[in-house]
Amino acid sequence: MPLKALASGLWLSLKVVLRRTSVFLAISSIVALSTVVTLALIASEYPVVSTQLLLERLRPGVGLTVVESPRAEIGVCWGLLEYGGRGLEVLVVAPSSNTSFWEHFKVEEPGSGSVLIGYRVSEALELSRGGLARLTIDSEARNVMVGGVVRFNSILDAAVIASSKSNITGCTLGYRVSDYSPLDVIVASSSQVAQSLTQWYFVSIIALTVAVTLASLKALLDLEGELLDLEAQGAPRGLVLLALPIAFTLSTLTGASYGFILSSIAASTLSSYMGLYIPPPPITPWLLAKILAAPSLISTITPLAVGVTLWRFRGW
Amino acid sequence: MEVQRLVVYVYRVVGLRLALLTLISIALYSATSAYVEGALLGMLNPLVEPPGPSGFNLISMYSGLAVSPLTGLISMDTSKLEKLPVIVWSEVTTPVLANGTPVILRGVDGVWSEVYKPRVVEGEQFNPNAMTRVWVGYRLASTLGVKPGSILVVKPLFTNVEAPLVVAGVLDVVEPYSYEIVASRALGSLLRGSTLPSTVRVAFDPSIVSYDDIAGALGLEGVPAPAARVASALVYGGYVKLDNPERVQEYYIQRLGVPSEVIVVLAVLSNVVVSMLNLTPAWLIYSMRGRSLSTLVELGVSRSSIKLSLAILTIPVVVIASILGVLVAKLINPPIILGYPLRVELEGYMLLAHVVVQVTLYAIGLLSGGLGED
Repeated sequence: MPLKALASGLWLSLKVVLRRTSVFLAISSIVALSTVVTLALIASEYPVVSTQLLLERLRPGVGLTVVESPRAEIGVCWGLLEYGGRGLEVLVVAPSSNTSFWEHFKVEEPGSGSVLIGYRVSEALELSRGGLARLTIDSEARNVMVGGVVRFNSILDAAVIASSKSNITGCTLGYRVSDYSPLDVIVASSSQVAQSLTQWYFVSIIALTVAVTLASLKALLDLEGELLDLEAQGAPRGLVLLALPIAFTLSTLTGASYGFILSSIAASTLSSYMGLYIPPPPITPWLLAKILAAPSLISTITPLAVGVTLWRFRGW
Repeated sequence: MEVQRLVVYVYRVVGLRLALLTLISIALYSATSAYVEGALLGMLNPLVEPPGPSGFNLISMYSGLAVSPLTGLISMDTSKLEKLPVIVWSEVTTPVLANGTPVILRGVDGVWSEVYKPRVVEGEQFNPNAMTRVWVGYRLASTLGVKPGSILVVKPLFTNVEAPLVVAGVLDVVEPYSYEIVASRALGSLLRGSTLPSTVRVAFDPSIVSYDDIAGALGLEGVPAPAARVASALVYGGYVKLDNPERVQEYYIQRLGVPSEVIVVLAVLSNVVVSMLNLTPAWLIYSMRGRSLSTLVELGVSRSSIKLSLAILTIPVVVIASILGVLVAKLINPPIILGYPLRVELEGYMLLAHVVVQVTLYAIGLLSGGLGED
């Protein structure tokens, strides 16, 4: 069949389908559902974007991250430090001599048999430089001399920093000096929101499938006579059946586009109100698949399936 | 009598299958919109605010500068409250990654433990002096899959050293603590990088002390302070003072410039938009049962009485379907923020509005459907 005849046959079918108010309104409701689903999914992506924006502006600093290795450059254990009749549970951090720990935290490695303690340990035990305390790790006790009290403004303030000469072994965990980006916490939290919406998304997809099925059933039953007339006038049956999938797919895509546009308007309004600019979420292939591809596929396949079923069972 | 016969005839025409189709489809549409509505309204529900101890009212004071009630710090002289018969304690919160999962770590003291009396599900009693051990709320423990003796690698948001901590116990305690890692106040402060608390709480017996007495002793004016937008808060500083724990999140959302009314309107609007789908099952009745209903028209029955009969028969089904949808929405995984699930619930007027909108859109479909004329 020449392309022109194909196009005009399809256009005629579409005109017949869209002429009905009920079909037109069914299409509008599918647009509406697609808009709501898109809006909700994009809204859940916004926190990730705003965090990325922060990440770009804030460079990660140097910090310590935990690694699981008995031979880490900085060993970490738990111990009990006792002094003056009191005991305090502490982290025992044992950096090797060649680690950059000393350089980054601007402290000098203590000599053999002596340790550095965090200010919190010092306050809790009223222990200061020169004091002799008892450190127990895994039921092995030893006496240690406090070589200095340091304020790190981190968990290290509750730690005993031992020198590499102290021969503290058996730590199954360790520290690594590395780039430390605390914003990972916010990024992970944003992803948590987006991931937790997965079940709701599937319910929405089922609702869309039901909506398209009912709308197709309604449209095909209403238009049965006219569609058969069209066929009698020479329009191929396949072409006639294609009219609905095209209309519904276009309406789903329109709904998703509205969702994109509305979310941008809402975000920019809020941004200008707050004096912060938050760009829209990047259009990743996964986001496109969720918002456009899956609903469009449903809107294409469902009316076809309904059409073929009616064709078979109603003897078209 | 005629009306009754008509209803019976229409009932037979509609049939069980079509009624079931209406029920299932509308229940699904209702669940989809109820989830969006519930999630929007959940933003206003208490997420971070515990109930007061039994028989006591609770006042919580948060930072007026922070973006969220979980990230701010406040400086407040509570020594002025010593003369009043009240219980005062402070807590420090910090968002952390615990074994890769974003949650809140809350540092609390011995007073907290006495007030809320957490029951130990597993492991040791809570120790307010522990420095390398933490306790985990029972809800979070099941999410993280940890038990006493497990190691939690905690990455804090505000300091730059990860903390390997040992889980000492699992606590059965009120929300929000049941969704959190509970640590000693000292450990919480180290991970937060500050000795200042995030929240100061005052529990009091309202028959003995009033809010005004406490506010007066602390030098706070007004009950409670109006929510200030972020920019204003940066200029004026101050606290977000609350005497209604239900509203803590609402205050913070309002500070971003979004009044709670806008959220309520958006929730209703999203329901209206999704409820447009209810038009289709209503129209489907005319398409599938058109011939039988047209026979009635030919016999001289007015279209309006047929439509009324259809409404009488099917609207109860739609009401049931709408409520069923709300119940289904509660079963769907809620949005989770920093380990706290938002409560996807529709109650009171919002539930009524939800059902009314669903029914109205369906009724519009029923009344506007073509009967024998197209």
